[in-house]
Amino acid sequence: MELIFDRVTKQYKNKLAVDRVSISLKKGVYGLLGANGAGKTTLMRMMCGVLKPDSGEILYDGMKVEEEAYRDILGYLPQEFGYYPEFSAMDFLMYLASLKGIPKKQARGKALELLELTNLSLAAKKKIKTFSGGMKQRLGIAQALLNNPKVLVLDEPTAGLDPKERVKFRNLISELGKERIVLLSTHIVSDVEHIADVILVMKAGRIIHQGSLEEIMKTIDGKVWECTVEEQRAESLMAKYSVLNIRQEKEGTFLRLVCDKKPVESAVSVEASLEDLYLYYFSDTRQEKEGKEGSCGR
Amino acid sequence: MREVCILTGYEYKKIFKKRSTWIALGVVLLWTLFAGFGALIVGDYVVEGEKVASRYQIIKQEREALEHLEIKNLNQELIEKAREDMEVFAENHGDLAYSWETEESRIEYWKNYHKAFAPYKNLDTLLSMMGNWLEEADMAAVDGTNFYEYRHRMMENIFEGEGLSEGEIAFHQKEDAKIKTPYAYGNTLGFENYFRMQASNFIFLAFAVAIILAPMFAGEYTCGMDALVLSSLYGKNKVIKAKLLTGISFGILAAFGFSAVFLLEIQAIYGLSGWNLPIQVSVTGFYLNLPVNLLGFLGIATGCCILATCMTAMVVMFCSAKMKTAFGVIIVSFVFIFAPVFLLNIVVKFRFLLMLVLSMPTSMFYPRSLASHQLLSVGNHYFYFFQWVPVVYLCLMAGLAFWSYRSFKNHQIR
Repeated sequence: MELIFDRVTKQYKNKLAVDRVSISLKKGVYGLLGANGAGKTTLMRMMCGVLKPDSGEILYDGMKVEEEAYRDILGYLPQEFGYYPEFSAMDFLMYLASLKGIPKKQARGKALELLELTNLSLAAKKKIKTFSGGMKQRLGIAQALLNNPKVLVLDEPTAGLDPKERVKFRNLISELGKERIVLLSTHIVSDVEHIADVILVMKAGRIIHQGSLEEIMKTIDGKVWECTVEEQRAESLMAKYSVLNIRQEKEGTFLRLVCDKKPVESAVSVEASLEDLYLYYFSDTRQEKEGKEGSCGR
Repeated sequence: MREVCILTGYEYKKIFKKRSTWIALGVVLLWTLFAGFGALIVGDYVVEGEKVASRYQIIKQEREALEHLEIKNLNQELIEKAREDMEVFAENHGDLAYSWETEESRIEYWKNYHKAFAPYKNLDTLLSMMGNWLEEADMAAVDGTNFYEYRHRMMENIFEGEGLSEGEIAFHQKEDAKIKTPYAYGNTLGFENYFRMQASNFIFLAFAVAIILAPMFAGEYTCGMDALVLSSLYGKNKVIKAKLLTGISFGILAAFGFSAVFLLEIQAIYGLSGWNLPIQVSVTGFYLNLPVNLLGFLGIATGCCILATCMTAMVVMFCSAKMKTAFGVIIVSFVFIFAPVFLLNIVVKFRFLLMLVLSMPTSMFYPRSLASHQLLSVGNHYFYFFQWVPVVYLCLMAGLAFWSYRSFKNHQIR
């Protein structure tokens, strides 16, 4: 079971959405981290065969993602999850089951099971248009699991879920990842932190880091500092470094920031978290800095 | 195929779950009912502000008179009888005609007039139509011995006016020779009214079909279901076939269903007893040389209407696959359906444009367009619109189905 991205590229007019991505995914949960516009959704769409790459190819065990056989083993929850407002949850799942080629009897059993799993059993006969955002999202998750997919692509699956549902869903994903390839993108760093076996950090269309949580954290190890300084000093530090946290305290301004060297004498090195890494890579200061470097370079 | 049928069922479910579907079908049904039964409610016969008879009474009277005719052929005998009867009426009621002293006598006069005139109203209309094309002729001289000769002259004038080729004229003359004379005469009311209202009924139906089918593909884009559908096992093949099958079958069922409803209405009001009369004794077919009876022509007209509705449905689905929103599809469909109604009168002098407009689905809803005098010639063979346009439609529908299929299959989620 291997999904290979071979120099996959996609460009929208002047913007390079995905830039020569080459990765290999095997059984397990992959967390795709990246800011808005990093190219996560484009990459996932290409992986699901609903968007053609400009160059490169995506293969599952030698099979192209455009092929019907690949769609048979695919489960997909798009970011903007659509639905038919007049359909009930049960109708909707039955329709998608028939689209996935599941026989009616089997589909009914599976639909009931998934409605139970996503806590929607009581709303099975209600029209989807009456559902809350969280309920719709849970229905989306249910439909993605209908065909017991070998490749599961979840674009922002936890958006709109309350903390309890998120935890339940995280556990479910962890379980699912034992038997299949699961790729999920999210802005909620803690979700990735808890369930992803491999984290993919995507920026400007490229995968800039790839590895387990421990491996990926090494890039930022010993670079996270905490200090409490006067207001004026805090302002100069904020302009200079990527700031992860600011808090006003009695003694002055508390800062948590990333830099290679100790920023001030009183700073203390602390253990980095994935959120620190995310904020470090995708902070405004860093983006601006890189933007300037980029324009100077050109 | 089983999967396609199951998916077709779901496509129907999507259609009938929408309120717009029920509104569109409801409006067309009301229109169809009004087109038939409305004639009974409105249009009372009024003379100087006084109601002489209701429209229903007149229709009933005319229907009974035509169904119990003594002379059942359009021949010298019938024309002479018509003149005699009207003369007798004038003699018997002449006083009343000019001395309307009381309201009762006025009403009585017109009631009797309609009764006496009922069997010959259609004949009178045909003679007037003939007179329109024979300005130089004395229509009073038409006496049944020369009726067919006059009609022949009328047709020649029409052919000349329409600028037909020699081949076309020869073809029509041959066709004319196939029609048995004297024409059988009887109750054409039902068919006449069906043909008269067919175009407007089907134009509204076609637009309703367009409204209903516009979201077939575009609806998936606008409601964000395209990604889910296209990433599913059957999303790039069977579901597209199911959508196309749904559109075409819906077109057929809607056209067939509404035709049946309208025909039942017509039968109830006017009767369809004159099914075996030649179309030449009806206002619709008087200018045509097609040698078929009214039932045959009804079959041709209904078949063409069903096919034209399917063609419209196919165009709508093609636009739906190509365009981003169902609203855009409805706008394009509106122009596609209603433009020929106005263009028909404008392009009448330009043969190529006329042929083009006449071959559009909306034109096929007009019974007279189906057997229009302008023919398609292939070698020495000539074909009516109702013969060659369906063949073109079937080819076009296959082409459009293929392009719709490709468009949706290759749709990119950006």
